Amino acid sequence: MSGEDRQDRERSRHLLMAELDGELTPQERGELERALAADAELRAERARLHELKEVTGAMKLKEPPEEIWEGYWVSVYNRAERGRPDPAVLGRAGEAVHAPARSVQGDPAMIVTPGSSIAGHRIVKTLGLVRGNTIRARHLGKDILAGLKNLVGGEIEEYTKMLAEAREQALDRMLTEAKGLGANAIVDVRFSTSYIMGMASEIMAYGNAVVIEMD
Amino acid sequence: MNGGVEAAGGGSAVELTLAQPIQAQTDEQELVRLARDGDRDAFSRLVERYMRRAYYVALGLVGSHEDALDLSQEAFARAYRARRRLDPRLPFYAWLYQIVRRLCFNFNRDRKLRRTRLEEASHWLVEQASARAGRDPAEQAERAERIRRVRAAIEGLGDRDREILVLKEFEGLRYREIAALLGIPIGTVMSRLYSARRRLAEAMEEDR
Repeated sequence: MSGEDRQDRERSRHLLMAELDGELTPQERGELERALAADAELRAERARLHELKEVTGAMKLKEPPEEIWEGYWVSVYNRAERGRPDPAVLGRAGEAVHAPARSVQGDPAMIVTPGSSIAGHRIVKTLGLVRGNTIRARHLGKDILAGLKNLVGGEIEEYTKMLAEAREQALDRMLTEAKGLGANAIVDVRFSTSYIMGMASEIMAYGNAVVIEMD
Repeated sequence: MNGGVEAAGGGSAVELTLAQPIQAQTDEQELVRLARDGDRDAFSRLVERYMRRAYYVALGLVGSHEDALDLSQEAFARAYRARRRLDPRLPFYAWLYQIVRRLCFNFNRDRKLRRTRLEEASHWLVEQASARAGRDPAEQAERAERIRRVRAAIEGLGDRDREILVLKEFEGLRYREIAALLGIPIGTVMSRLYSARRRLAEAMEEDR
């Protein structure tokens, strides 16, 4: 194929794309029609691409649950200020798993504790139950690995990491809710896990949102 | 998937209507300037304005709700930490998008290294207007199969092919918008789109 032919071919492909996406000018349409009339291969290609466009054009990305937008900015802010690396982004196999324990750095106003009182502070207002949950699907490949570990013993890192991430997320969501209520601490924090179907589990963090003052 | 949705409330000094694009543009410049100078509220409004776009593009690139949420939030968090480098003359989203795509590409690469496939990720693509679709079980099964094939074919593509398809097909951007976002000429956008579509068609034919 000569250089000129290659250029023509490239040009025809551009025109095909522009036609498909509704970005063809009237002059270009004339040009494409002439090219199509002269080239059976191009006509076949056009038919194939139109068929594809019809299929992909009928699809869209799945909408997430509307409530994710409510706590979105708070999560971003917590993440930025805490400066912690995100396990989902950085968590490669073999890397240390984040401990789920947290001090809420960068957010000195919020204290989160499993105890029912906070030393040096007193609770002046109880705002009630706050919770955050996440549901994680188990992974077939990881299950197989974990199954092997069951035989030979040892830590099942595949799941340690997944659950650590899930707990972080549940905590994040609980914090978002507590902030929304105007709390500056959460006491009596607990985690709970439940199984939904065989392949998915729910991790939930819950606690009592309160307003505290220094003694 | 409207990135231009204005968040309710706020009540800050830059509360402007976004009826005209020009207005929106100057409003955004003002927000970016304030955010760069440390105004947290201004940054939060930029997040509210672009969180949907960032989430959807990440969803298209990595194919799982949880990861798209994590990665898009991580992108904003990094942008926040680097906010002093913001340039009010440039569109905020173009800057953010560079962070989103880098995080998503790295994530996909690491996932490949881990040799895991996200089984739970399989429902990121749906058919438009599926509500009006008929109840005929045969038709439903056919539709589900069609979605599965497109999804599998897209998941098998390389990051760059996937990216250009997501921007065009799912975000519905015009060629010049894609060119501006990726910093490439329009001709290159069309060439990439052509190759990506061709590979997608091939993958789907193989799967038939």
